[in-house]
Amino acid sequence: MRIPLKIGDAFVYGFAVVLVIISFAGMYLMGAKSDRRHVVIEMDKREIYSIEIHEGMEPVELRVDAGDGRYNEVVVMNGEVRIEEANCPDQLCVKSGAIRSSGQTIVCLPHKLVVRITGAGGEPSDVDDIAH
Amino acid sequence: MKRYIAKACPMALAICLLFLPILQGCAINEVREHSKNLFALNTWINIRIYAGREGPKIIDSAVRRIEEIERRMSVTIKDSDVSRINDNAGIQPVKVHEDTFKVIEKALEYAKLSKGAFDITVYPIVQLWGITTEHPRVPTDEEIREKLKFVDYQKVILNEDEGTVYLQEKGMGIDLGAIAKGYAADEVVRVLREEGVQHALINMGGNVIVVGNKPNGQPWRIGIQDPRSDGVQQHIAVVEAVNESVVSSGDYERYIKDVYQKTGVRYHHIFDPATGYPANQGLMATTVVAENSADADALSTIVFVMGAEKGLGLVEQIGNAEALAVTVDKKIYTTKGFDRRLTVTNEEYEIVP
Repeated sequence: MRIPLKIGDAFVYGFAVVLVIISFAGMYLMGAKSDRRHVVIEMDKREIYSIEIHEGMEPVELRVDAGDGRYNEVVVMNGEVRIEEANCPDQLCVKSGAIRSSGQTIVCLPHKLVVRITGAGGEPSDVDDIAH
Repeated sequence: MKRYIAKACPMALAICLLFLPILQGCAINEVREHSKNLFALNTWINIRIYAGREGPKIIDSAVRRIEEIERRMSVTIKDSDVSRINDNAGIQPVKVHEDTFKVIEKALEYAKLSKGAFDITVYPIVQLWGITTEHPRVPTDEEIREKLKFVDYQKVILNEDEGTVYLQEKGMGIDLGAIAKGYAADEVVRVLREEGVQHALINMGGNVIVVGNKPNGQPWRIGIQDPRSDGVQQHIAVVEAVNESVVSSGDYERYIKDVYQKTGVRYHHIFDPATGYPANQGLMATTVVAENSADADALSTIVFVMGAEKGLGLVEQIGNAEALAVTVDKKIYTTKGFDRRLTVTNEEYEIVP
């Protein structure tokens, strides 16, 4: 028994195969993307920077302006991020030191600044959060 | 006929293949982490939930609930229920929202249980010191005596039928700062559960509350802040939690820094309503674990003000929570049995049975 393959049939099969490949590729790429770590900097609920981080990256220095001359200097390097300097009254953000694992945050309450790490990777933190 | 079937088979297969990724995309409404930070209730709040596509919407409804509570209970918002109560001290009862009424009712319950160690009418003292403002100062004994006259929770009159709150004397004021965050956390949990969220972690300015266990089935691991790490996020112990709230209070977050640097005396933000001075019972920090965050919030303050022995004794007596107290010589006292739930992670600290 022979089934004649018409041009139209071949086109439909070909189209289906291409779609399948594109869909799987898309899913793979999206999935892979969320594995990378990003430093996300938010000022008063607005995301103002998102920087991919990894070991051996070029250092990035950012001066985040909180208005009225208030600022935080954020340094992103070597797969970690810290606040180098700030003119907030409590200096808690500077004292927080460097963070490098997904889920960790640095907060500057007076300037409404949040620096956090998203994505997977980094050494996993040994706790899910800290009560303070 | 046969020809058609033979032809239809690969065709059907192709169509199935075509839909496979799309189907997977649908089925994938994959449960993943959604996280949001916000500033409210004079602090930083992080909400982390595990949900599908509807995650951001669920978080938004939780945020709206927090903002509602803030509008009603903040002392820094001029027309909040609390500000109106304070403005009408000694003048007239003020009708308030059910949220505010419930929180004040609970606060007064804890005031009675703790014989005034927990007292929302300590607000005139809080204002006098201004620890959380940009210009804190150490007041004179005379000034403190003057303001202490207005500290008395028994002069807060609730009228349940009318839904009103009245402060009997002019000069009185209340501040719900030691319990409102806990209430807000409980309300967030309620919203999340109503939306079917099974796993979540909320951090309300250091008060942690967890919904369920972690998505991998393990309990949440919550660190207890090192009170002497100078702001660095480090823990002295870890407690595992499921459907619970973990709240710490201490002398380490807000205190008058320049006085501390000069004299070594820590004037911090948790006041003893009996003296008008920052509580001084030899403790650096307390932590309470309870099912409700409002209870944990109030009790962590109570233990800090009453001291290890009396405070932990009261927690055992009430029976709705577990607690620990960290003394200035780095010893950790706990309520009965709570030591077994703790893993000490800093060897300078030691659990005293």
